[in-house]
Formats: sequence, C-alpha cells, structure tokens
Amino acid sequence: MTGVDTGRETSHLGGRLITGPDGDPRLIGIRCLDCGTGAFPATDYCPGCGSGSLEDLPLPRAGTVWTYTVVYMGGYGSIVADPPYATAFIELDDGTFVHAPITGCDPESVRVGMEVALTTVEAKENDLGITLTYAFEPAVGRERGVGS
Amino acid sequence: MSDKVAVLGAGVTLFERRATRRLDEMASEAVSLALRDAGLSYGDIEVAFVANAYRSGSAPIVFYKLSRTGIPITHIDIACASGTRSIQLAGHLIASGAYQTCLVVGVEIMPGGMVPWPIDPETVSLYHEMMFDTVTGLLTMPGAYAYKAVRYMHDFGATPEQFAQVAVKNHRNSCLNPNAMYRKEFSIEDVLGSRMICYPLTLFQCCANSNGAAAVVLSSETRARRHTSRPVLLSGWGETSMRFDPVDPVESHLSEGDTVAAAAGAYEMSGTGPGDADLAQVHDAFSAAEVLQIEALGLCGKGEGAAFTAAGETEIGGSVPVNTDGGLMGCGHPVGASGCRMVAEVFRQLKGQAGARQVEGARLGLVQNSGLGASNVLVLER
Ligand SMILES: [Zn+2]
Repeated sequence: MTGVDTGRETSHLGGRLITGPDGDPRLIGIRCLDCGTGAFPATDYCPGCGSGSLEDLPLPRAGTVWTYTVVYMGGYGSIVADPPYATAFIELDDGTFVHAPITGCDPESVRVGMEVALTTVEAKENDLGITLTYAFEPAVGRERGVGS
Repeated sequence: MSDKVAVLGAGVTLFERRATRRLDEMASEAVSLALRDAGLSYGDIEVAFVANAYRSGSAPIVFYKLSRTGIPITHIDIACASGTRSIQLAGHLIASGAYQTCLVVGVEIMPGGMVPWPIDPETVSLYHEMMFDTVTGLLTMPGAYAYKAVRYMHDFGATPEQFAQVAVKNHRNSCLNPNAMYRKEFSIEDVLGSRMICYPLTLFQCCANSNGAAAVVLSSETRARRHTSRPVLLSGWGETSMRFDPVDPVESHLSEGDTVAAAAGAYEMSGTGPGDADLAQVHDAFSAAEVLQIEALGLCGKGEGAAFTAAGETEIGGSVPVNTDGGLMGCGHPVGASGCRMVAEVFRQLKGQAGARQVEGARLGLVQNSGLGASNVLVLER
C-alpha cells in the first residue's frame, strides 16, 4: 500500500504526494535547513550540500512546461500511460522543477511554456503496490490558480 | 616522482551487431593489437583495467586468459563512460609514479534489444529517483536528450533537420572505418523519416548496440621515449559526475554542465583550450548530444552547435572534425568499449595513421565520453 490515511489527508508514494479530504493533490519536496535548497522529490540528503537537516516543502500546484518530449518507444513500461505519452520538466510557480507525465491532452499538443496544474492518476495494474500517482494537465487562468 | 602520461598503442576490433565471438576472444584481439602497436608484450604491463558494464567478473575473464603475471587487475564500471574513466585512472597512476605501464581494455557483449536499464525493483528501492522515474515512464535514455533538444530548439531556433545532420555525417564517416558496424550512408530524409523514438529524435538519431573491444596501452613519457621520439601524450583530463546546482536546478538536469566542468579541468591541466583542437570524439549516443557536447567543449558558442554542424564545420575537412570514425552512431555502442574506441581513434589520427578518414596535420584531439550522468574529457597531443 502506498496510501497512509490520517483522516485529514492521505500520504502516497513514500510521502511525495498527499491528497486532501476532497482528493485535491499536493506534492511534497524538501527544503534544506543548512543551505536553503528546495528540491523535488524529497531525498534523505540535500542534493545541493549533502546535509541531512531537511524540512518538508509543500509545492505549488501550478507551473509551466520548461521542456518536454513525447515517448513513442524507448521506455521501460510506464504505470501511468501507454506510448505515445508526453513527459515534461515543469517549472512550478515557486521555481522548483518537477519531472512528471503530462495527461489530459493529446501528447503531441504539449508545448514549451504551456500552463499546467497538478492532478492525480490511477496507476495501471502493477506489482509495485502503487495505486495512485501524479501527473500535470493543461490548465489556464483561474482554474490554474486554484489552491496554489 | 611524477611524469607525463603517454599513449603508446591502441587496438580496436570489428564492432558487430551480433557477437560472433566471446568476451575473452574480443578482448584478447584488441589487447594483442594494442601491445603490438606499442611495441610491448603483456609481460611489460604493470597494472591493468577492464572497462565493462554488463559482465561481472570481467577482470579475471579477460586477463587470466592473456597471462598470469600477478599484476593488479580491476574491473571499472560507470556504464558508457567506463573506458575513459579507466584511462583516466591509469593516467593518475602513471603520473603519480606508482606504475610505468598500464593496459586498459574495454569490451562488451551487449544484451539483446534496447539497452537494459541498470536498475530494477528487485535491487533498487522504489523511491530512489531513478527507479520511480523509470516505472512512471519519465526516465528513458533517448528522452534525456530529447528534453534537451526540445528546449534547445525553443531557445535557439534550431531545427530537427540540423540535429539529423549529425547522424548523416557520422554514418558517412563510418563508411571510412572498416571496424564500424554500419558502414552505410543515410540521407537526411532517411534519418528524419525513420521511426520516431522520443520527439524530436528518430530511430536513426539514436545509436545502436554493438559488440566489440578496444584497448589502449599507456606509459610514462620517459618509458614512451624508449619506443618513439614523438610520443602521443595524454596531456590533460577532467572527470565529473552529475552535479546539483542549487542556484540553477535546470543546470543539474538539463544542460551539459558536467562536460563544461570536465573540459575546464582538462584544458587547465594541459594548458590548452578549445581553439587548439584539430578534432574531437564526443559522445553521440543521440544526435542532439553531439551538438550539446561540442558546445560544452567550447568548440563553438552556446546555441551555435546545430548551425555549426549543419554548415559542415564538424565534417572531415571542416574546421574541427567530430567523430571521424563514425562515432557511436556509425560504430554502434558496445558500452564498456566505446570510451577506449574514442581514445584509440584520436591516437590513430595524431599518429597520421587514420587512412581515408585522416584529418590532415592533426596535432591535438579531444575526447568527451558520457555515462549515467558522468562526463570525462581528455586532451591528447603530439
Ligand atoms: Zn543543503
């Protein structure tokens, strides 16, 4: 099981994703208490300086596509989607970079600079114990800003 | 005591799509060629490395077949960069005065199909970033360079045609190399029209697996001068792995900062700069990689590499020929052997023995070899 239910929110994927009572998702990264580096996903040691003094960093839900690709072949079997699927590096509104699939649109319509927001995806059947994971989907204007 | 480091000999086997010989047979052939080229016998070698990614126990497999002289033998693996990493370690050992002669042989029999990802859920925890990104479809080898290519096109107005030109050039160069796997020309239409793998990279812009071996004999300059009055020197090298830059996190994932840092080290150690290079061998696992690596080496300005390539500057006969032997694209990629193959090609060019693909008057050549986030840069001079 990847979900830990506290009644108020549920933690998934080793703590990198939480969902609220209404299912609204949030990614959790880390901030280094020694050098201030913010990063996602959370790690045991700061990727910038190696410190183990870290705090959780809830990330904004919205951002823009910094770069992307569409995978037609060459993957190792994804629990999110079958090829062709789009994946991207997304620059969130606080400047944190997140590597994630893009769902909810034709993969060939993804562009650099496209506005996106966090969503959850039911994982395809797998033997890793993952039921729910995350992706980003196109979102503009007010919809994009909700909850961020 | 310390001495300069020389490359005394090199040998490369045929790189073939289907391995017709075993690991030990290919390694023995490459070593024999390199030793004969150096004018040494295996008994003269004081320390030896085998560069290999897919066969544990490679050191005894390769070296006990050659001879049992009691020297220290070691297996080095940092995936595609294993060959140059071994040569750099040999360089450190010789420069320190610990050893006078060192043999490095890179050899690989590749598993069938796509290059297998070196991590799997049985041995790596699910929330290791590389593992999680693999199972969610984010981490693919062509995808890593596809991301860079897409952003590069956005920032600098480069086109898929310009990237494809790398594949056209390297396949054409491979026709001049009897050891290359392809030895076949492809038109730009062939390259762009092949199957899309990860946008914008098509099949013919991704290197293919091959099987083969390459060996390099290194020695102190003092020892080399017993054999030749004009040795090829390994005058500088730099070595890095993936670095997280807190000021610019994009740098960590999406640029070639590792090569920039490795090149700075290599240029400083050798007292040279990119303007001194007569040719370069760079890690063209994907077409876009060559464009980014020649920029990271400083052979052209940032954002200029695609147009520089399309203008023919990196062709044999251009201002700085790149991947004269066909590179990974034309030779195929026997992972552990490729770095040694790159050094062997620059050595051959500096000796003026590169035959139909000879770069006239070549005196200084660069090697850049990548592997799982590591980047190695070497300067060879004669
Ligand atoms: Zn830190």
